[in-house]
Amino acid sequence: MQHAMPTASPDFDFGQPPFDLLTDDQRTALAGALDITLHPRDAVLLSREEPTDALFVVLRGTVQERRGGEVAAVHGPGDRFGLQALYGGTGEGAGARRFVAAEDCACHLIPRAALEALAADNPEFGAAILGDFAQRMRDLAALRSNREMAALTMARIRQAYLHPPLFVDAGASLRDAAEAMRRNRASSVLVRGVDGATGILTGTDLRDLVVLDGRPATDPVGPLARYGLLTLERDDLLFNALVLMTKHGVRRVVVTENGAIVGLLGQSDLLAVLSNHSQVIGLQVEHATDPADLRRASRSIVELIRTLHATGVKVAFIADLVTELNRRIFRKLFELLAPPALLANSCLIVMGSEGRGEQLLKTDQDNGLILRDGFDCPDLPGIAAAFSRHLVEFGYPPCPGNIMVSNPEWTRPLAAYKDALFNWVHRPDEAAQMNLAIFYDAAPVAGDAALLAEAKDYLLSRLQDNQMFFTQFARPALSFDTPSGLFATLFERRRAEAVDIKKAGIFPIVHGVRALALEKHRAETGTVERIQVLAELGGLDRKMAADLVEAFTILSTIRLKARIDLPQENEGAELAIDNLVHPDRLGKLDRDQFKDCLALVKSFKELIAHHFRLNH
Amino acid sequence: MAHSAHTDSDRRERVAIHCEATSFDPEVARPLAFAAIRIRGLRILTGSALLLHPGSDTGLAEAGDRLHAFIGGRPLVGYYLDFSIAMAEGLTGRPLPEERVEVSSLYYDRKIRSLSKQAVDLRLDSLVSDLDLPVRPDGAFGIALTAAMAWLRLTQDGR
Repeated sequence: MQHAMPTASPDFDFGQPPFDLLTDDQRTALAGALDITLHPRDAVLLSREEPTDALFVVLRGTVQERRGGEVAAVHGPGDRFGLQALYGGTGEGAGARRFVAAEDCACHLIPRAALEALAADNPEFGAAILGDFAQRMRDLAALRSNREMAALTMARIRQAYLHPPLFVDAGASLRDAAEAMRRNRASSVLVRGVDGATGILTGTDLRDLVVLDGRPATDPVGPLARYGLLTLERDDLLFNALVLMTKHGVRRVVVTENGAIVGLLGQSDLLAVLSNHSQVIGLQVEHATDPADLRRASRSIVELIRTLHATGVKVAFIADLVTELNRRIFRKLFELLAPPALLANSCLIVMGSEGRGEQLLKTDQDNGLILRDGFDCPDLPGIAAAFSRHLVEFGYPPCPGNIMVSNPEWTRPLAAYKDALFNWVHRPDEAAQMNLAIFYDAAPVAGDAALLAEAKDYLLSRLQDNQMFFTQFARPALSFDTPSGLFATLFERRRAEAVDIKKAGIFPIVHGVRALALEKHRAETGTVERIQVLAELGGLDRKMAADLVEAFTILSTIRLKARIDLPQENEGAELAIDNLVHPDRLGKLDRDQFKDCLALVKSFKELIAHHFRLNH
Repeated sequence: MAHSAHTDSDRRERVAIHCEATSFDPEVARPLAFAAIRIRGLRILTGSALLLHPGSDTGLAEAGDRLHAFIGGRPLVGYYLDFSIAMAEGLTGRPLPEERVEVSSLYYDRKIRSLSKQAVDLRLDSLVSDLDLPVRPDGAFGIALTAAMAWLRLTQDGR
């Protein structure tokens, strides 16, 4: 409205979550920004051909969401849709979906700009509406600019790297201040004024005062520092810091927590976060001089995941990023602990989901060390134990099966690995099957990657086209029940019953695909990569492959969300590992997708059973 | 008026207007409120609508100028449109676009096809409930919005 509020506009339902989170002023702003659309029956509201600039909220009537020829979901009054189109651009798969009026209907439209302003204004609302969106965006193109835009509106100062505050007393000389800056590689110092006030003196100030104005370097800093600091609380939005810096033409702001100064936020650090949060953690990892630094970096990964998830970054991207950061932390830790000779003569490997690059959060350690044959390192047991211990401190729980560097079974020469592989292939028992499975997923993290490559070559060379072996190997894919299909009605009735998404959905896909890939002697480690290469080789038909990739992504997203939504007991606590999904707590669309995915997993299991003759 | 200055987008859009006044006789009525809402395709741009109270929150002449600027060369839609246009033109003395649609006429044409000899109830309330529009036709804004919705509904169904 350019002038006054509509009074007779059809009432927007603010009782509907997440709109109930809005304050009265925000509701007024939203009500004033709404447009209305009317659609006759059978009209297409939204499709790939018509990108939208607004979120749709159904006011009257019903809207069908169609994928291909089928109705994927039905939206009634109060339901919303279109965010995907709003942020999805022309992402692949986005166009498969069309929204069609099932009867005459009317919708409220929330323009993108209004939505983003509200999200910035009310982070809780922003997280709810965008987070809700995040779990639906499996087919969203990872448009970098969109990610950054979202990060910009949501990120907090807490997520940025803060330079530790560097204090000098008012009586210190300009030379002392310069000394302190050099020693700490800082670009400014904070000055404790005589009256308790805190001032700042920057490198630029020093240049101007001493070089240009010719002031003696022995002058005390007290009267020369600038007081009246620009400060922000640690929980303020980063965006506010950017505004403050721009407004005052400065390159740093002082950050406080409960009134006490905790650090300085530099412009470049701020921009680093805004362009890519991961850089900060990456920087912390690279600059780490002892395990304690790494520990801090590692802890902030959890926060990063939360933000990325809340800002709608798709789950495959999160997995890539987390995998990369975890591996950098492992590598750095190993480099800090291991002497150069050990680094040159060994290969640190990660296995299982870490090896496949499908970690969403910190899960159990699954790592090992391959030593070059003939190399001996007397300190090895101590180093290996320290490595595993530090990782536990960082929040990577120890492996229940003790598949860790600290276990001599997994820290051994290449020749011993080959022996083990030989046994796993030729004398399969349950443990051997599992070891083989996770080793097949291994990826190198530090040291000489050629050692792992040789071990894997050996593994593939020992595999024969032995039907019995693959039948044994594939069997675990069927070990857990997947509720779906005929159980659909049951599923509805027992909505409240939790489903173990890992056992029922993710593991069967991962392991089934792994078995098919191993049978084809493929070296890829990621599940999606394996599916794609299998489709190319004709090992999976293309439709099944595409559906599997989609289902795998959706299930991973739901799993991540289930974990992130768990209440945090205390600040900085690790996200608990919980694979239980409560269908009744999912949104309608998610629940529908979840059901579809489980149905697909079910038919994939049938395919695996048939292919490997598991029913005989 | 420089009609040539009006862009194509002006022509693709329409504006629903309504004037609330002290009387229904344009000769003596004093305008209380003007509402104007653009319609683009199936979308009613309520988020950027214009609501003016000439003589209280704006001057009479200023209200007229803003209304003219808002409408531009766009065709007009309204319920009891002649009255609203007379009131609007009275503010500035300048004419509004010639292309106009009276929604009660559209509605009448629709009903007369099916109802034959029965009288058509042209009251706004009846029109809203008959067309099942999600709106309360109160005040200048509510009536302009109702006119916009009725126009969309009545022209949609014909397609």
